[in-house]
Amino acid sequence: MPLPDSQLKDARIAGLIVIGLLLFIFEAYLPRPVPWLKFGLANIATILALYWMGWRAAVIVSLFRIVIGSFFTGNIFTPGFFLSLSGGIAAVSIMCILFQLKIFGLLTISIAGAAMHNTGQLLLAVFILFKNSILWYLLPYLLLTAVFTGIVIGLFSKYLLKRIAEDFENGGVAENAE
Amino acid sequence: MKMKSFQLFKPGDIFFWGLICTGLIFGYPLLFSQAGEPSLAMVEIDGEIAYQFNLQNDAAAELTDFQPSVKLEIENNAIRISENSCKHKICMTMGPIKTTGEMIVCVPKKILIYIPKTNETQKPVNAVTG
Repeated sequence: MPLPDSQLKDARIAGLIVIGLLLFIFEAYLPRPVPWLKFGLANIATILALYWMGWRAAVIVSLFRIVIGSFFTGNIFTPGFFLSLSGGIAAVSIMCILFQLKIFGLLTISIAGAAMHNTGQLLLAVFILFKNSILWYLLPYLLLTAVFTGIVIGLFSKYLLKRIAEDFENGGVAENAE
Repeated sequence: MKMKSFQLFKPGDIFFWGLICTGLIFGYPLLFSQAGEPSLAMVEIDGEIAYQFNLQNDAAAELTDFQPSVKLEIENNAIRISENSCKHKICMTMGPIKTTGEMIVCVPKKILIYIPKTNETQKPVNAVTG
């Protein structure tokens, strides 16, 4: 018996939170070639939720993933958790706003999300954690890495959205893809 | 439930990329125009300057504010964290810093080590080493 739409949506949101969590935990244990470089793989789940079910789902997936993920990695309520939370809120906010405007492509939304994630973290670090404006020196590096990671995450998301469109939605045709 | 359009590029992207390029073009010179000859490294703990080190003298130091203590190494006009008990040890992988604007950050212990601009006003210091 097929699920009603509301339950189906809840199930999909729960599924995306789990995917986000797995990516988040997987990435936490990956070695980093550059100390500041983190791909933000978990953001794929947020982007999928945004395009599949809208901005509310994206916010839920993002926040639940950060809180539950921090429990699993033992970072809950540490400075790292608050950095993660501030970055996550900033990223999902800008992605939802740009998405609602409907004039920006997936790649731009992904890059903007990565850039705001880093900027949100930096804002918290500058004004609350370290209280030192010298940290702004990091902004250009963080924005450059955001462009790089945003492109990677955007392309991954595009591929997965196309698969979802073919397998679950639109009668098996990815009609919205370029 | 219909999947929303997920085109990679849309017309509005040009504004975004314009903003990014403008930021990069104007941001870099503004940030790095005042770089001077570095001779000091500042160590802040929890937002307060706790130590400053002379980079011209090779030395080893310990931040005894933590248990176990955090070990620093000054060598060839550069400073690095050589030992820290924090979880991910990202601060140790940042390697040595030696030029103005470079920094080492340990988020779990709220340690910030940076090379200040030579004309930067310095706050009162608890300890001077080196």
